Parts: sequence; structure tokens; C-alpha cells
Amino acid sequence: MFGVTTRMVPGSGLARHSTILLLIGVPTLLLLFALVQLCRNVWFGEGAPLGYQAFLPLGAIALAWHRRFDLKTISAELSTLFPDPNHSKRRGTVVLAVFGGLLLLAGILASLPPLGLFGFLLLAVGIVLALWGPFILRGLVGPLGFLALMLIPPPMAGITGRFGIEFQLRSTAFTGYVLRALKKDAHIQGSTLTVGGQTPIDIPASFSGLEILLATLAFSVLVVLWHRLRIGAALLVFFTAIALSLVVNLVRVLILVSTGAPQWLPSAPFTILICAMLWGCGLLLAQRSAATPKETLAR
Amino acid sequence: MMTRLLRLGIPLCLIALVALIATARLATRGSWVPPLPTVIGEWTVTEVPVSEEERSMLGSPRLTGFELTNPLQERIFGRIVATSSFDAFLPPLLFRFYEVTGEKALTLEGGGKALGQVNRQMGSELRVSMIAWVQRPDTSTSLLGIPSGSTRSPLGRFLLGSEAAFQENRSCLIRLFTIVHPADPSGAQARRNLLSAANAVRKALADGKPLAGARGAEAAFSEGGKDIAYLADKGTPAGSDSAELLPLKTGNNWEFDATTEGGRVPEQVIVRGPEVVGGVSGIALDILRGGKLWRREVYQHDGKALRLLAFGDATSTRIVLSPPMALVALPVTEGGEVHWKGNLILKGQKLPTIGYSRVSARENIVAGAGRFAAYRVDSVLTIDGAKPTHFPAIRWLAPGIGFVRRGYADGGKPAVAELKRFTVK
Repeated sequence: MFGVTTRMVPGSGLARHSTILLLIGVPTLLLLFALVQLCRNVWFGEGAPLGYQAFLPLGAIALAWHRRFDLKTISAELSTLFPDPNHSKRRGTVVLAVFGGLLLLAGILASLPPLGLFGFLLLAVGIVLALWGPFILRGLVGPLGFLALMLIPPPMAGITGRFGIEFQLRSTAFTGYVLRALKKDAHIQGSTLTVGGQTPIDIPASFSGLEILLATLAFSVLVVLWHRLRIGAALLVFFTAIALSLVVNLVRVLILVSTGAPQWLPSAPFTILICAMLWGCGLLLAQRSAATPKETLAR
Repeated sequence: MMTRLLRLGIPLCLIALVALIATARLATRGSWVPPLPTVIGEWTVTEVPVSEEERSMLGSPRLTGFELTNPLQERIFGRIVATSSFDAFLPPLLFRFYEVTGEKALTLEGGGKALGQVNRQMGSELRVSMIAWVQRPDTSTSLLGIPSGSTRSPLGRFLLGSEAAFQENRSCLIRLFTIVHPADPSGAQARRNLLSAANAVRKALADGKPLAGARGAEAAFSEGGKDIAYLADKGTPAGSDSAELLPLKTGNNWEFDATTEGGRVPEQVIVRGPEVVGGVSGIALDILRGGKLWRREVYQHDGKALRLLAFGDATSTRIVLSPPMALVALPVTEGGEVHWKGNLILKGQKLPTIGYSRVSARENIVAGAGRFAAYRVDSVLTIDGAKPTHFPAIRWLAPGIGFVRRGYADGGKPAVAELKRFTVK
């Protein structure tokens, strides 16, 4: 994106690159660091189900990079139609970016991650708008929309509270039914599972499957946007993500029941495994039906 | 182009700089959880673990869970929570099953402000009273950020965060809560206990500094609710003196129906007359069971207090209190407390002892002898030692009548005696 714009102003590319990096890139990275600090409990706290959010900016950047040729085309068209680099179609207001930064600062002072995340989103949108104008911003709707959709956390009280408990109980019950189907004597009481009269095992909240489900759903959105899948294929990816996360979590709980060692069963490797499977699924679906831009969710 | 970059870059650099400073300062000042000593005023502090679930629900801030116990073994549960996360202002896990039924701003010593709250367990009559405030190291308090009902104020949190980041003002959130006991139907004693504990905690954290009042913008919350009466100040002087509270003229007598573990026993208390105990003159009362002398107690009133000089069973052991222990300070005030420190003399042995007595409530007592408006006086004597020994007693005293109900330990088992008949001159 930068390269294309630089070519529009011959002789000033390097200086402009350095200025953007120094004046915009460095403070943005510092603000991202402050955001990570603000969200560290939500993302990296023990049993935090929203840890995947820390990787979403990387996903958005990768998606933007994936769309670089589209952006180059838009940029070339703009420079032909509006040769003045300061034309309003090629540059936007700085107000949104500054407002986003201030909102992020307010989120830090109020120790309020959702406010900080919303501020960061506005900052990202505002920077694109200020430096490259509304058309490039429209070209980045996919990556920015992905960030907006996935980065704002759902209410934590609900996630760790009633919703989390519901998942924990259902996960325990589901495992119990599977064990019974395998002719094992399994007794379910709340989140406690007793198999064959042995010591009851409490299925902890971290084994509710919620963490894996949320992460894989976020990844499935990325897969859909990356491969520009049609609605039908997109729904198939989402359902596959849900089904895989439930099955993989069941396997995880079964291993827990048989080994009784939760410390050896973090959710991350299982999530990565599902993500790899989803990526493959997305590739297959993309090969089978090459979607036109108008028909994709990304547009 | 350069102008545009500068127009965007300069504010962004400034915001990033302020954000970094704020992040660094909040990481240190925002995690303030001051320690409490093991004894604060009349309260004994015991640290209790806080569950991982609760810690996680509060956004994993630094926090301490503790329990405060007074001499009457009444308990108050507490949390000191660093204000480093927005969720830190959520109530403890227990309150998930409660609804807020009353809210009121309460005034602490030195003019500090706290939020008083009554929470009722869903589907039951069990109530938990709570007091919460934000404490700063300069001893000033605030209600900023404390949720009213289920509403949390982002503005309050923003102001607190700004204070910590830019005004060198750390803060922590303190919550104290206690179950409203069925014997305290108006919740008045729970409220008094909470205020007493809150003031004790503040003094402990003040470290000798004078207590400051409330400071900064006040959080807006709705005062009211169907249980707001549980938070109202009901302390009123009764204007009675000790002679009226326990008429000690020789010949006065009270007949009781005592319920003990062994069944019902008739009891009689007779004012026998003056007696000198350890050089102090008092009035002796004989307590008879089945017509036989069972116990003896010696009281004294001097216009300032009703005091207990000695007690014990009639046959062998008499326990003398040196100096005499005040049971009720005059004039009688609901909630009025008396602290005593002295020796308990038993078979010539001096045992260092502490005593505590409190007019816990004014209650309407219905007994065989009629209906009486009486003060419930809760007292306890505790002999210091590796394994402290407690002598608890409850006396319901009606002005002009004397005892209308007595609660005591009979061979280590609880017993209650209710007034059947009385003769008071």
C-alpha cells in the first residue's frame, strides 16, 4: 500500500516512508503496546477465554497484505482520476484517528478494555482514512471489519458467569453421555464426573470448550474472508468450526478423565489443530468454487 | 502532505506518550492493596483465601480477603481490591444470587463517605448488608466507580484512573459485608457493626494520620429501595438509669421458666442485699433452681454504669472481676458498647481477662409475665491464654422491671430463662 502511494510522488518516497514510520507507525505501536497491557487479563489471564483476540491484529494485517493487489489497483485508479495527492478522495480527515487515540487513552485510564479496543479500532480506521482516503478505506473493509467484529469483547461477566457455567455443565454432560455410549459407568453431577466408581473428577471451567469455540469461530471468519467464500461455503466453514471445537474439546475432556492431569491439556494446541483443519477446509472450498467479488461476504 | 502527516503524527505521538506514562503509573499505583494488622480496635482480622473464580470474575486484580471478628464472635467479611481492572468494582461472587434491595450513602468517621447496601438472597428472606468505599492513602474516601445496583460507572473509573496516573493518588476498593442475623430484625446491629469495622479499617490504614473526609466528585446512585430502613441510623438515648434498668432493692425477685438441655426448670432470682466483693460494695442476687441456691451474681450501680462484680455457683467457686466490669454505660444508648480489661480472680488466681458488653437492641419481649420493651445486653468475658475461655451472657433488661429474659451457658449448653412473675419495690 505504501509502495504504491510513494510512486505517486516521485523523489519523496524514502523521506515520506520514514516520516510515516516515525510519526504514525511508532506511536501506533506504542498505543498497541498500551492496549495489550490494558487487555492482558482479558487475553492472557488464567483461563481467559478471549486469548485469541491478541492475535486478531496479526490476522487483519495478513488479510490486508493478501489484498495488496486490489489496493494497488484502487490506488492507481485514484491517481489517474485525481492526480493531486491532496485531493479529498485520496486523503481524509485526521479527526477520527485522534478521537480513536483519545478513546483508547480513556479506556486505559478507566481500566476498561472494551473502550480501549473500540478506540484502537477507530484509530486504525482513522489512520487509513487520513493517509489514503475513503476509497482505500473501503478496500480495507474486510480486514478492518474482521477486527471490528472480533476484537470487541463480549461482556466478560456473561462469558465467565452464566454462559461459561452452562458450557461447563453441558461439556461434562456430553462427555458423560459419550462414556455411557461406550458402555462405561459414568455418573454426572453438575460439573463432576464419576467413572466406574473411581474418584470423582471435577471438569474445570477451562475445559468448558468455550475458549476453543470462540477462537475457532474467529479463525473461521478469517478463512471465509481470506478465500472470499460464498455464503453457503461460509456457513459450512462456521458449522465445521463449531462441530470440530465440540469434538476436539470432548477428546480433551476424555483425556482429562482418563489421565486426571489438566495441566498437560492446554487449549492452545487443540485450537491450532482445528485452525489448521479449517484452513484446509477453506482451501478446498475455494478451489471448488471460485467466487466473484460481488458474491462474497468480504465485499 | 507533510503538513497532514504532522497534523496526524503530533497528536498521536502526544497521546501515545500520555498512554505509556498512564500505563506505567497505573501498573504500580493502580495495584495498591494495603495490608491490615491482625487486630484493629475491637476486631480481630483473619486473612481468608479468595477463590480463583472470584478473582477471575473481578478481572484478576491484586486483592485480599479477610474476616473481622468482634468479641461477641460476630463476623464481617471483607475484601480489599486494587482498582486496576474495571471488573474489580463488581461485588464478590456471593452476591451473584442476591438482589440489591436498599442503598444509602453512609457517613464514616472524619466525614468519609461509603455506600451502604442491603442485598436480599433471591427467593429467601436472608439479607446481607454491605458497605463499600474507595480508600486513598491520605485517608480520604470516595464513592467513584462503585456500582449502584448493577450499574457501573465508566466515568467514575476514568476519574479514579486519572487521579492514580497524574495526581500520584493511589486507591483501593474496600468492601465489608455481613449477614443480617434473624435476632437483628431491623438490621440495626449489622449496620453498626459495619460502620464500626469500616472506621476501624480506615484508622488502621491511616497509620496515625487524622481521618480525612470524602474528596472528589461524588458518584451518583439512587438512594432508596424497599430495605433502605436496614441502613437507617436508629441509635437513640433511652434516658433510663441503671437503677431503673435493674432495680436492686433487697427483696426484689423475679421468677423464670428456664429452658435448658435437660428440659424446663423453674428459676428464681432474689435480691439478697449488700455485699462487699474485693473491697467494692455491691448488691448480691441469689439464683435459685427448684428452691435451692444455684448461682450468685453481684451487681453495682453508681449512676455511670451498671456493673458486674462477681459471679459463680453457690457451692464452690466464685469468680471476682477486678475492677468491676461495666455491663451498660448510662444513659443507655442502643448500640452503646463497653470495653473492659482487668483480672478475673478465681480461687486466688489472677487471670488477665477482657470483657465486652453492648446494648444490641431494644426489643419487645413477650413473656409469661407480660409484654416488655427491653434492652438486649450482649456480654462476653474472655480469659486470655493460649486457648481463650469465653463466658457469654445475654440479659434482656426492661427499665423499671429488671430481667425479663436471660440467656446463658449452663454447663456449656445454651439456656434461656423467661420471666413468669416478678416483685419489684
